[in-house]
Amino acid sequence: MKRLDVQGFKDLANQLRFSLSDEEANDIKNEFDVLIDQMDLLNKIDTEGVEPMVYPFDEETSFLREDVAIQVLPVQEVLKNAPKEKNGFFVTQKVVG
Amino acid sequence: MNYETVIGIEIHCELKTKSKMFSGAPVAVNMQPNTCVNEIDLGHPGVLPSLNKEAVRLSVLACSALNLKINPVVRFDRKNYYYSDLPKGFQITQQFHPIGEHGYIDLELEEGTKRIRINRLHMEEDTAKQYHADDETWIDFNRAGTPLIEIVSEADIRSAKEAMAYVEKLRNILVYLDVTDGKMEEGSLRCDINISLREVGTEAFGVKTEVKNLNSISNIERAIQAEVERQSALLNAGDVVEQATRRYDDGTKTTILMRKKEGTVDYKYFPEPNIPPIRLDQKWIESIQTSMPELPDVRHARYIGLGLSDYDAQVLISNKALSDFFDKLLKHTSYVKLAANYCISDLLANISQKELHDESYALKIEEMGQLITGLGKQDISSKQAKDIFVELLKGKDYQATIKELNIEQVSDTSVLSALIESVLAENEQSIIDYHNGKDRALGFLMGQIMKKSKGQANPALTNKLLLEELMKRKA
Repeated sequence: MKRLDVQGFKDLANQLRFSLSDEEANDIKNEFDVLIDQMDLLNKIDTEGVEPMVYPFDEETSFLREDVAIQVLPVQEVLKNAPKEKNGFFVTQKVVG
Repeated sequence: MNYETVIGIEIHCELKTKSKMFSGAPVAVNMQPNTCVNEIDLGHPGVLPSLNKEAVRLSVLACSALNLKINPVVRFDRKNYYYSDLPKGFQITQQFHPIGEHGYIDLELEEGTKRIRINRLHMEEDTAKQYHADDETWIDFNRAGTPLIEIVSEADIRSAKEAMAYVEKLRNILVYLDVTDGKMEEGSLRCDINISLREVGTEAFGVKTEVKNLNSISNIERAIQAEVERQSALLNAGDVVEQATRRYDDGTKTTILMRKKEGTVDYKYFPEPNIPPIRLDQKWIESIQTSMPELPDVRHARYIGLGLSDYDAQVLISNKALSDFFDKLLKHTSYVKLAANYCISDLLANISQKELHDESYALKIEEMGQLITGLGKQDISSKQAKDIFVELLKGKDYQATIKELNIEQVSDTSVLSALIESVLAENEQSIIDYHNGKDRALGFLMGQIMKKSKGQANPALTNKLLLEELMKRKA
């Protein structure tokens, strides 16, 4: 499994729009090294001839929801968790130039 | 150097449903921000998506009309990326198993029919709408979760003209199916265009750029022209085209760099675990296909069969609301060509596209049908018809208007004969001209008679009597 170095984690954080100090990046790298060692253990299991499984049941379903607008949240509820709101909008820091 | 333009088009199209793709919240049309959302659209923890049946039906319809092979097992995948317009941190889409694959549409171009292959059609959910202010971004989640289909063409398109024809035809088909309202300017149909150049006669594609979010057919043409110009200038100067996403700026008529493609973004696609595979009932698919509304090409052929010119048929079908109106009008009159003329010129000049679309006009179609029939039978003159039409537009009835405007048909043979007599006496030269084969003279004489009768002479009868009178005077 691919291992990231400290710079790799900093680049990843940048892509996700937050920054990491050297110390934080180093901590994360060390934690990931442990995780990846465990993944490598899993990778050693022989899965030859075993189909990938996504869903716990093999059965296909057929349910489709009827197109009825039945459930809407009051705007006060919608905005309840917003750190900042204005005129009914969620307000965030601008992330594009 | 001579270059060939290679174009592929991705179209995102909002489906006309009442509720969202995966939630029972209403699809918003011009609503206050964040008033059409629920926990599912906001990506709250513990919620489960539930697929909208109508969205699937509309997708099946679109696939059928675009000749795509339908995959009867619907599966979804997660596209993971981190951005403020995407509350869950992933978009539910169909990366691995699109509902439709390998279709095509045929374009009628001046040089003949050209087939554009369609690679795929898949279902997905729309994102929130963002408004970028000076130092902050405002987010409205009303659009989040709105059902979308994305239609991806093969790189078969070779010019701006073909690109316009492709989008126009595709949009027209989707509007006829009532799958979408297709309003590009309002964003319910959005267009991204991939453009590259290659030397004429070579096989390998050049480096492409993607021009995002074109909001009108004419902007598609201008954006392609601008981008082709830019790329060929680069290549001619020995430079390279950089793979990038660009946008078209209408003010400067150029494309502007949005972001460079630094390696492909890893969206970490994987199957959506919260939606197990759903098998569509084959009978249901067939019933959708057999109830498919009339497509524009079929309607065009029907109009030609009714005796309309190719031009008139084109004008009518390119405007579905107008064409639907025309079809309703035909239930009330059999004068097809006259009805078409009235729809194309008089109706469009007096009724806005919006009124036509919403059927919010006062005009009664059956009354207009009577008018067309009256005109066709020459009970009324075309001048009288125009005067009556002005009143019908206000919602009045045909017969009442005839009375109100004092429009009388003079059909009394003796009165008409006297009129004809006096006009002929004043225009002897015209009689000679007529007998010398000048058909215009007949029109002139008719005009004089109509004028003298203040437009009230029965045109059909007058015409007949005039011809008889002229025959008598043949030297």
